[in-house]
Amino acid sequence: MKKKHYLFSILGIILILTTALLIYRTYFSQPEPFLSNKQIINNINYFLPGDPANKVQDVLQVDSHHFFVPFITKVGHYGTSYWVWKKHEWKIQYAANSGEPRLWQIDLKDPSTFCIVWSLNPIEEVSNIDFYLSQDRDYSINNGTEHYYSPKVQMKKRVEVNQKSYGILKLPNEWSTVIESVVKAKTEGQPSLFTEINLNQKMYFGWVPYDSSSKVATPGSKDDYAGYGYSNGNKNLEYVRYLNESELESE
Amino acid sequence: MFFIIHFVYDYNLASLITVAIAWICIGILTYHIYKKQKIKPKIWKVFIILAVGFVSFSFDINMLHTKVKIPIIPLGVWLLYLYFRKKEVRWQMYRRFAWIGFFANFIFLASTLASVPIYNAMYPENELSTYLAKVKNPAIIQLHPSAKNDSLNGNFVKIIKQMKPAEMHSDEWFNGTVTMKMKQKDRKEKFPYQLTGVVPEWGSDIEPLIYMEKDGKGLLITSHHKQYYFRSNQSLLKGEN
Repeated sequence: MKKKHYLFSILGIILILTTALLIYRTYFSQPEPFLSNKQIINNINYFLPGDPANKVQDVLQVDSHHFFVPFITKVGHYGTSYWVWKKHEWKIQYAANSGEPRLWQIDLKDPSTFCIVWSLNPIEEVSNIDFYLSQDRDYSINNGTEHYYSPKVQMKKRVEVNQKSYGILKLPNEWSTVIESVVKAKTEGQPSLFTEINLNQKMYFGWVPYDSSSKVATPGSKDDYAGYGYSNGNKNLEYVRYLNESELESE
Repeated sequence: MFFIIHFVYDYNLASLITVAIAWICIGILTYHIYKKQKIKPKIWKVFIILAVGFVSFSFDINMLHTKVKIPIIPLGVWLLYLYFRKKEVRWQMYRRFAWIGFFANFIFLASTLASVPIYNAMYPENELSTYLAKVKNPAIIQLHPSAKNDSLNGNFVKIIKQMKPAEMHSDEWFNGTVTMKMKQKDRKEKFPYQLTGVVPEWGSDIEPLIYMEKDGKGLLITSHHKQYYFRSNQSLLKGEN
């Protein structure tokens, strides 16, 4: 009788330990080295069928758990893939066979982790991109006396794309400070533990590409392929609006 | 909604104090009844009865700009009564505690209502110091291309203390900038800076968003989903003096 008890408790302990180990491995383990180019291509083609990827342009690390991989398809489209280390596996969060700039909200609760990624067709001959964090000017008066005014925000960050037609831009510190304070003021009085950032409609990101002679480049003028993408059910990606110069305010 | 267990919604100091007082009142009341009662139940059972008695059917209304729950039906007391229907003696032993549980809803309601004027007295909404009590690492961020590459005046802290509430004219501010005649690129922003690195009054549980006017003499503060505007005679910007 005693022996049986002994056996059971040992089995129990082993069971608990294996479960703990499995949970640890699945959710908390450090990422393995990133995939080889061949594995990347295979995964992309499985995820994004119809327009097979052919060549990995570059493997760009965002942080220990996130990679951005621009690629070229057999027919010559410039695609983008967003990778995340999740459940002990390198997974595609989003992939498309096009690559206009997008905001990648790595950790939805922390704007300092946000970045903008892009991959353009080199025939567009874009040499600079101006990225913008914007908010539209607005006002309202409630009950005749309660005024509300929100100023125009237009913060610019210029990126040179002479050498490479793809890239990552980590948000400047000032941008994430501004986003964070806007979100905090909006969610004031709510428990903040689980608040995810949902940029209000008024705040948005924009981009204006320029060619080497400082003229505004129109994306799609030379490569008008619109492209398509698949996402793995995530809300981490946000559009970056193509802005007209006439929408911009200046000094 | 229906089965409401009271959570502390507001983590500001005024609510924490009044909720603490509410708990103490409930404790005293329970202790009082417990001492008076001849047949004494086990203490841990008293806690369970209190908790079940607390369950009530309530509805939310807005009072003093605060959402409060008005309990109407003592659902928990009712359930306990059903359970103890055939056990008359035990029901007599627990009955009072079940009602204290229900009554606790009203004590919390009173504490919520009391916290509002206390909060307003501790953190007056028309005083700048509520939003800007301490400076940690004060700096400005340029939000608009028309902002100058300026920095804060050395007398920043002194000037802030002299700032007075001023009237907002959001319609004029907007319409003064956005007109049919004016092209977008000629529009200048009235509030092209954001002030960072300042801390609101301790315990206020607010996270104000502070814009600064282009002349450096005005602060536009967003908090409590409202806006407050303060002006001074002197500019908070170095370049404007």
